[in-house]
Amino acid sequence: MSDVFFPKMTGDGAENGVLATWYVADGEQVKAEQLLAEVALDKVDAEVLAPGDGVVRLVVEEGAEVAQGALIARLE
Amino acid sequence: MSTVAENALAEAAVRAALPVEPPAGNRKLNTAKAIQEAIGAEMEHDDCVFVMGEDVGAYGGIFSSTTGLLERFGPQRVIDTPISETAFIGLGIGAAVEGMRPVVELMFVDFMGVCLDQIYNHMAKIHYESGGNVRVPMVLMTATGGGYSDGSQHSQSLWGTFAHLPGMKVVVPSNPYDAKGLMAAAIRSDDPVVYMFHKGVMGLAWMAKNKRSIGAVPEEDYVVPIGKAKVVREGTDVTIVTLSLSVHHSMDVAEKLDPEGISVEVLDLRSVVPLDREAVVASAAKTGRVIVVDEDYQSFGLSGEIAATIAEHDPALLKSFSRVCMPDAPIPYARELEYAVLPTPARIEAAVRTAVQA
Repeated sequence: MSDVFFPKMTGDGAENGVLATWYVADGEQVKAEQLLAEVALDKVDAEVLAPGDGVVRLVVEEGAEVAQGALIARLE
Repeated sequence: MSTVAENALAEAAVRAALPVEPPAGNRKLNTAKAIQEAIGAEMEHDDCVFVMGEDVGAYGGIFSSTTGLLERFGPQRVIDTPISETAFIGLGIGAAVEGMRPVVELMFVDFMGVCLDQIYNHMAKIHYESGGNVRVPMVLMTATGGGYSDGSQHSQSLWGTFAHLPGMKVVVPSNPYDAKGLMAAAIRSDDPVVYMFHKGVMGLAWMAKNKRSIGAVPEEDYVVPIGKAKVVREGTDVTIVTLSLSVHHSMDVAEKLDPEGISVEVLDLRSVVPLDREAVVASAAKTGRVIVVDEDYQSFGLSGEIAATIAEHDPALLKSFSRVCMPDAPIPYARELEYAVLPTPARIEAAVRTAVQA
């Protein structure tokens, strides 16, 4: 089991970003390196890839404002 | 048979070997990533394929059509150009004539004004003028459409203009699945193809995004044939003939009206040239009521061509015909004014309600 976090996108990590797009559904089987989400902060986008194989559990909803470094999903 | 002809046939057989519209599977992409994947796969298969345009390299295309390609294939095959569309489109044509397969990005279709001579007098004519002896296997990829306050010179659709000028195929994907398969087909085509993606279907995090801009895309290579429309929703009361972002809006309206017992068929043209006239006539014959939803200008364009296609087949086929298009005026910058002229779901819904009374 591993946790997936919103990436650190600014130097001080102070601003919140947005979970722009989930590319997987809650409960879906995913493979390592698979695209899980796109996140956005101040008009910069970043991809979040799966850290390993597993069943993904989404912790935040699409469109939600999220702190950098916050938990966004778990892999079981 | 000459060796050249034999090689061409063998090459065509290899290109034709890709699966046609396989099952979508589970993996999801947005349309931008689907386009990147198709271009990347074709570059892997064929050293003759290369990408050129403004900010297609390090920046990855301003609407992310080429993200990651520079890192994979290097600056000799992913070439950032100066801001001179005439020069780099001409360069693409020359490369294509010499046997390369360039994918050239015109950043906004609106910019065709500065380079149209290269496009319609050269790219679109060389294969005719040479009696088919000189082919131009080039893809001219370009961003279209409005809805995000980019003003009259960055918001047009203009596929009707390219379709009106003979000699170019014109493809207009509405979703990630079609975008990947149509790009593979476009690069493999021996003819010039204008590949027009609406910024609103790319599924970009920084733009307003429709849920249908993210969808399942096979990981394998495949083609969506150029010139084949798709019934994306079956219905019996009225047909919406549409393309690009307007497919998304039309589907939203169809789903909204379904509980009221209004059954809307939605036909996604996917290509404007060749136009799948059979699919248009078949759906018109089925419902007897046709609405064309087109983000391009209303007059002298695609919507009139659809009406003519049906009338030439059988003038008595229709009980009702109407159009939801851009009025014949430049597209406003102000959001309220822009949304007054765009083919919005509200306008589409009103047209459907009127049509079913007929």
